[in-house]
Amino acid sequence: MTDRHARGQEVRRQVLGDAHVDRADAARTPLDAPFQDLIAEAAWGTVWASDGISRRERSMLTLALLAACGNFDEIPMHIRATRQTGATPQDVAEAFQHVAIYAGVPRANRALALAKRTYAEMEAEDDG
Amino acid sequence: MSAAEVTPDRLRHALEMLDRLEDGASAKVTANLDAMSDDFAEIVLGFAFTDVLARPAIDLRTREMLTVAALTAMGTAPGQLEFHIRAACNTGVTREEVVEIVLQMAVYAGVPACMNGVAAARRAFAALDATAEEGPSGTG
Repeated sequence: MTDRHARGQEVRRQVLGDAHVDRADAARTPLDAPFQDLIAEAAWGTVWASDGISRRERSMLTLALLAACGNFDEIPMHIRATRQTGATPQDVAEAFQHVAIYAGVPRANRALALAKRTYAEMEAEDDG
Repeated sequence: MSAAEVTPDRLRHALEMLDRLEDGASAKVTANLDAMSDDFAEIVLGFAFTDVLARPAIDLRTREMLTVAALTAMGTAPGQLEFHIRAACNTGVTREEVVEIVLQMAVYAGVPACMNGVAAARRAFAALDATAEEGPSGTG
């Protein structure tokens, strides 16, 4: 395992939380193992690991890009990650304002609905 | 009915439709496609202009408005957008209506898509003005 891979796994746990990473790692199969290693090294070990900008800012950028490109499946996971990165619901709302202007109102609308649902689930889990 | 039987008419109808959209367009488009393959023009133009655009349920003017909206929102086909803005103007859409369509796309596809649409409309209107000054193509 490379240093970058090890650092990536560390950052991934810090951002997504142990519970999520444990679940994802348990689901790993030979089919997606090379892909998981690529993500660990490139996304987590290189991009998210850089201290050039804050984790809060990375959260906002990531959510805006996911929404703008229409990759809605990963929005709930990154809303959950804001607990670790420090991006507030207000930060997320501001990021989606940019999506509305630069990528269209329907994408922002969908992203907000997913964020709202995910925040509600997180609150319910806290209460339970 | 075999493909060989329907091919000539399907291509001929497509070329007639293209020339309704812009005088001389069929010659330019077929020259481009024929350089690639003998069948390309019939397959591509036949599908777009004979099978779909010629259907009577929506008039050609409305179809061109829809096409301008779709191409502005997609943002991936600037050449086709410019052509269809000219085609829209040639089939009864006013320049004011073109601008309204492009503006509406700011809501659904984002401001950058709208701004690229404005640039395409500017180029298309200038080309229409130049053609109007020169007279219709093919009249020498």
